[in-house]
Amino acid sequence: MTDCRWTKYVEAWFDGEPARARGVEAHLAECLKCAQRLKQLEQVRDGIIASRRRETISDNQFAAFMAGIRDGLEEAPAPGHRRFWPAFSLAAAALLIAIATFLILDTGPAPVKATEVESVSTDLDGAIVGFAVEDGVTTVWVNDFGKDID
Amino acid sequence: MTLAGWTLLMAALLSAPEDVAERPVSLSVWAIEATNPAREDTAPNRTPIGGRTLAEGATSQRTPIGGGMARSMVAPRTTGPPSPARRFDDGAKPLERILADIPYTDFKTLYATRQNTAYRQDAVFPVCPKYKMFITPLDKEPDGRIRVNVRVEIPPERPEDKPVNALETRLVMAPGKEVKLRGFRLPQGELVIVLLAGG
Repeated sequence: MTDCRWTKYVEAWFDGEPARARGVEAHLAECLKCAQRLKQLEQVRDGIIASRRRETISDNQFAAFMAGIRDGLEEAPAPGHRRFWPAFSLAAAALLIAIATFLILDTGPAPVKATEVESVSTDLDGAIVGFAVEDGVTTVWVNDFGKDID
Repeated sequence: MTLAGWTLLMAALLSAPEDVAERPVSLSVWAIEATNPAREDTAPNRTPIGGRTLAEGATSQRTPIGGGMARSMVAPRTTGPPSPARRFDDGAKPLERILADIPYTDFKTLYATRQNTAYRQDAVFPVCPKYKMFITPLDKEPDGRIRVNVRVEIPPERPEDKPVNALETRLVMAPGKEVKLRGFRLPQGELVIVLLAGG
């Protein structure tokens, strides 16, 4: 069915727009198509009104109703909050493991050894050299067997 | 960041860190004249060399220096108790424990000093007219011990003569631990040098 050029004015009038109200009423008396269109709109409206159901909350349902609203409000910050604590716990555990490993493997500074003689020599003919450690004291000596030192 | 900024940053990163081993080494030296022998034989070692009879507890090693001024080295064990009548002057008194095995009775301080010496620089110690000592700190071990080269030289009597090394040794000295050098003959006894490194 092709629309009449007045169809849009009929639909606007049906929606309560006051523009061209008299013209629409006069046209509906003459135009069969627009009258049918108006009847369709009325049927749809009546059907919606008939199927619409008003929800009511009884007194014993009111507490659960409010609890549901509160739960919805309190759950809102969860997404970012949930991600932070697991990551923080993992980082803290890793740090504790690293510190424990360091403490176990760290044996402290090496103990200081006694004085060490790496080499000893003399240019004195016939002399000998040596070294000894006794009571923590290192002695390095030269022995020329009684020769006069010139 | 500009090119100059990047250049400065790279220079700072590549620059060598401060070397703590470059701090001067504190050297303490005492030269003690030991006289009046407590027993007839005062030589520090009478044991023949070359793998023959060694003193009890002695070990034999060879450690040549440079081109081979090799000498057999024997570690002697001290023999005989020290003389009971021992005299120390004020300078030698603190070293009484160190000098306990020296078989002399009288100990007189000829030279005592303490000075700071930079690494790889010679420190000269004119311990007595007959001997001069040179100590060169070389480097520092990770455990804090200091490697030094010690040379006790006999100055030449004539200018045209060369000095003679009576003793040259390379030591890795533990800080606070004395080292004793002995066997340097003097007209009346023996020169004993005590060294102490720190810092």
